[in-house]
Amino acid sequence: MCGICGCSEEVTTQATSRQSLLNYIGHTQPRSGMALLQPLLPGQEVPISGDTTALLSAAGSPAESTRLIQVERSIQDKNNHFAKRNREYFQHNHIAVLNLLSSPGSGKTTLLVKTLTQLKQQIEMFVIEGDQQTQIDADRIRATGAAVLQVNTGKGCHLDAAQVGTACAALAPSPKSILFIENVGNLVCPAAFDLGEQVRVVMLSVTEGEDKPLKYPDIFETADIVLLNKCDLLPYLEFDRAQCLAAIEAVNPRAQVIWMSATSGLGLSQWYDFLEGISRV
Amino acid sequence: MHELSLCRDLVAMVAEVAAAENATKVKTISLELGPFAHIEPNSILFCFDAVAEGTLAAGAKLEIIRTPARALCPKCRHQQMLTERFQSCELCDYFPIELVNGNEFVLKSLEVC
Repeated sequence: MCGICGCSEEVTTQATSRQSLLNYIGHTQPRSGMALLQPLLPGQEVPISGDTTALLSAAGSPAESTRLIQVERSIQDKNNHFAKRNREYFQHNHIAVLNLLSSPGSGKTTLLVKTLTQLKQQIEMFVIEGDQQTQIDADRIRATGAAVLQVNTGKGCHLDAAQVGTACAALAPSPKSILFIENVGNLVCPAAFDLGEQVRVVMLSVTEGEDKPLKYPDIFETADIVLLNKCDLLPYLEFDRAQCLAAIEAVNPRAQVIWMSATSGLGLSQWYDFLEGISRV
Repeated sequence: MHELSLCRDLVAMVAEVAAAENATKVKTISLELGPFAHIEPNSILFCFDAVAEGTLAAGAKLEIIRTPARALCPKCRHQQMLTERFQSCELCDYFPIELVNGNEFVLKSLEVC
């Protein structure tokens, strides 16, 4: 029995082909006739009809005169509205914007510090930092001489487009500059929130393991570029490079991949070339 | 979890629509959720009551209707239903194929009085 969703399909342990890799992540959708989730309260019916499975919360009160209002609006309208406004502002001012996503500690800030130090004579760069708490990352960025604004989300697990818009109003990135948005360290939630960026960069450090693109497909699927960081540590790890590339290919064949080490400098020239390319557009 | 902030947006939208319709109470909220939205429906159910407290949506029944996913092959233009997240075209085996719908999270309707 599959240990992922309880179905009777076999899941291979030797993930060499794309299809066998997809076996790890294919068991995410309800099979016909199978209720995907249980309702919150015991005893609630989960009616299944045709292609839909309805999930119900607590029952309502006894019958009274009611009317139906059709709404048909995406609940992500609000974030998408702010993202669209951000995108228009960035495009109008020729600001190239990158949204950097990864788990905590993969090396985003270290890469930014290296980038800002290396390219500051050629390109004007600005940074929005996102963390639950502290100014630690903003202080590291500020030490390079770059303008930075720290957003502390408190309990929030991701940056959203409204926060980015507010931050830009305060930071005022210059026309024809590059704006880096270092998102909250999290391989899950930030995937769902368009910030209005031009390029979505997902970083994975090799110490995290080659299977992460399969385990966290949502975020890797949205990436324009995948940075594989901390490659200076490869001699000390049992990291399968081919498996990692295959995993990325399985969820996002269009993503550009750059192997790098932000601390040793390995692979950074390819990253700098990319940034110089988008800053000229 | 990000469903909390989405729940806040949902409750704000419900309150806005209900107020515009001069409703005094929201009885049922019907949502459509595609299988590839980055949203866990049980988390929405979990957050909803807490977020809705003190608003017109308080006490409403939340109905989440799971909708099917459809995709279009950019190579052979074949439209197909999707049962797996990262599947290749069922006709020509091309990958990746483009999602037509399946990642939506929509406030479909309200039942109010």
